[in-house]
Amino acid sequence: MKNKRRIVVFLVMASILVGLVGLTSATFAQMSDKKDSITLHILTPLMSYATAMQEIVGEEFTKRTGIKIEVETVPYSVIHERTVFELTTESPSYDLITGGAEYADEIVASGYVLSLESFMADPTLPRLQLENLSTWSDPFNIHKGERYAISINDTPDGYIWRKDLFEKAGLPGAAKTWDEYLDYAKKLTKGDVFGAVLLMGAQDEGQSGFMRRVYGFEPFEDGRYIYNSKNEVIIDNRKAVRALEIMKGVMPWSPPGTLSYAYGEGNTAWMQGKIAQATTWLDMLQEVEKPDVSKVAGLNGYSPMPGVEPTRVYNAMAGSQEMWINKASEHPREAYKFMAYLSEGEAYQHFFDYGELGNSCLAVRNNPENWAKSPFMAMWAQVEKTLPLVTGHPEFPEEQRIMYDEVAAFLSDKKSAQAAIKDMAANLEKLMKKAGYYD
Amino acid sequence: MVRAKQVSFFTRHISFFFLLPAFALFTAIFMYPTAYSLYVSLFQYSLVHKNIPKLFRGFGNYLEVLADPHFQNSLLITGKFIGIVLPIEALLGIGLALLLNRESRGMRLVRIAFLFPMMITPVTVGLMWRFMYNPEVGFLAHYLIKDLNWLGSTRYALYACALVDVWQWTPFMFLISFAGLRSLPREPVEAAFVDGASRIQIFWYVTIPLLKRVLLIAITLRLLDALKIFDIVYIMTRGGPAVTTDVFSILVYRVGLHFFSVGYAAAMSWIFLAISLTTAIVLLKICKFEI
Repeated sequence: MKNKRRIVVFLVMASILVGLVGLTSATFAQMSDKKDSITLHILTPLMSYATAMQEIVGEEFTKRTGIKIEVETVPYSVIHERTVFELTTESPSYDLITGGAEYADEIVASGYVLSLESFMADPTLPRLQLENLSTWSDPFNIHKGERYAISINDTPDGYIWRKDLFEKAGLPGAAKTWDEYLDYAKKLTKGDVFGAVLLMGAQDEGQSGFMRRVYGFEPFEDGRYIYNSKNEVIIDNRKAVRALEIMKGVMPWSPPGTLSYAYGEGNTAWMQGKIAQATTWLDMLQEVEKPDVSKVAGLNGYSPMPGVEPTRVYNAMAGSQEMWINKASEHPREAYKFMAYLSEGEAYQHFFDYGELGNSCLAVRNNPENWAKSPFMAMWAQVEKTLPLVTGHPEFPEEQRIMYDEVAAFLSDKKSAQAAIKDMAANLEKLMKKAGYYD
Repeated sequence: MVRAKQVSFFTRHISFFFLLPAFALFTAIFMYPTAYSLYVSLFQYSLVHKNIPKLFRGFGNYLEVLADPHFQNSLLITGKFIGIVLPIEALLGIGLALLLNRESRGMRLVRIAFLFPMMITPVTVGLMWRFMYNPEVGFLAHYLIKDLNWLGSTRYALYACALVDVWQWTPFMFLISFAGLRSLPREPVEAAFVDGASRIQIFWYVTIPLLKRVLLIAITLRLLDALKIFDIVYIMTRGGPAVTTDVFSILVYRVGLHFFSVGYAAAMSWIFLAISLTTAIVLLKICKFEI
């Protein structure tokens, strides 16, 4: 009798459990069915254009199409991890993802985002107005002849400097060489202002900072600096060693803790007026020209990157933020419609108005009214030649980490410059072999 | 003659059937991922680089990990971190337990107050201390040591992280020690007192031996926890500056969830699990506990 009671209790409990599970599933299913309108979820780094996208661009798009926009932002330092994590789990949580060009190849080659070609060929969908957008970052958006993304935010790296402090110190203007840059850093370090800053807390900026100095030399081989045309590592040479030494030279005139400064800290320090000159990706200087948040709005000069010799040819690295359609998106056509809406151009003006220095829309970049608001735009016209940042390998995040580790080891006195470059070359070669580029 | 009652199979094994749902859940959330992790660790496997083929490597990943200077560095840093935090937490915890092992007005509230740090989530703790360490606006920079960016210094960043861990987890050692003290029999202490032993002699020759097992359990638990340190370090330094706080968990996170080399990351994790288990077993064996 006791056992029969146990059996009955067990069956009742099991039934209740099954019932609860079923009820919950049915409730969720009903909730999703109840949605009359589609909502596009966009994952982006925490940048000014994201705010513009949520507050104004999204609303205008919703008024026109009835499709809602939800933007979720994460700090730039984690956007890569978050993006790849979402994509590799084939989660439909996000329909559109924006992120840096430095891992564009990785994402596209992995097959987790959709090609735009079929959408572009579909006459029932709005046209992607590519003629409104610059071709600067096409190397990141087009893969094996197919377009996978549009750019949200083109930017070169650049040299930002405080015009007022330069004038006070009697300096003629932006440094043209890295030796001048160092000399100015010494002269400008006074009180609580530092003459320069290295953003070594961020892998992206740490590696980019090194490459900026490297690009001040003539190319090493085949017009390249890290790998030759056969993907053989060519960075192990005295010019790369010299580039490291140039980088370390400014450390005494950088804020204490510069080894831990990421984009956020650097941006804040700049807006607080603590830094006199810096070289960085200019789209990372969020809102520096907005007087309500920046103490130095209107005081900034923007110039091309210093070189190694006064007669150097100006080289800039190209960077941008791309927007992709998640392969697992449940609303790819609607996602494409949003892209097409952006390509009309007005959205990019909103991005600019919200504080984005970089921009992918030609009309915004070539508008003299915008030049008056942002000297960065005027400087853009001076860019004569660019080199693409991405080496063309999907393994770029790991390549970047390898280079960053060695640069950090040298800057923190753990290795000599020669040893750091040698180890950098050896580890890059190991990665290339592992990835199957050669034996 | 009374016929023996036939017991059905279901009745004989009814406990098994009641345990089945829990076992199914355990298998789904623990056994399967663990087994899959072991399986993946035998392969060269990247989630993002489709041009790197998924190849069976056997123990190749393990050998590569052991020879990897980043892994060796992270072991060194993790060991250094534990070497700093564990003794301090143990000594402070026992000291606080002895100090507060008395009944007086308000003592209960004081004891509860000492537990607060332990109750705060590690992420909040990390953020809070990050602000305190800020050289511009932080409490420590303003009122204690000026012109020192703790988290940006290759020399002091690890100590800065260790201080935070000590602040948060000393209450744990205090709690265990205090519970142990409270559960000690009074007779040996009274007998020693009657025999003329001093307080220090009572503490060293009576209290500590009686508390030994409890303390060692607490130290073992803290050791295993400190080996896994991640959240505080991630929030405050992310392994920097210049990998000086690159503890093991941060390295695995980077390899597994930044580069998505899941096979390599899994191999790292299994090696570290072996190290942790060995350490725990050795520690307990030293004290002649039976596992």
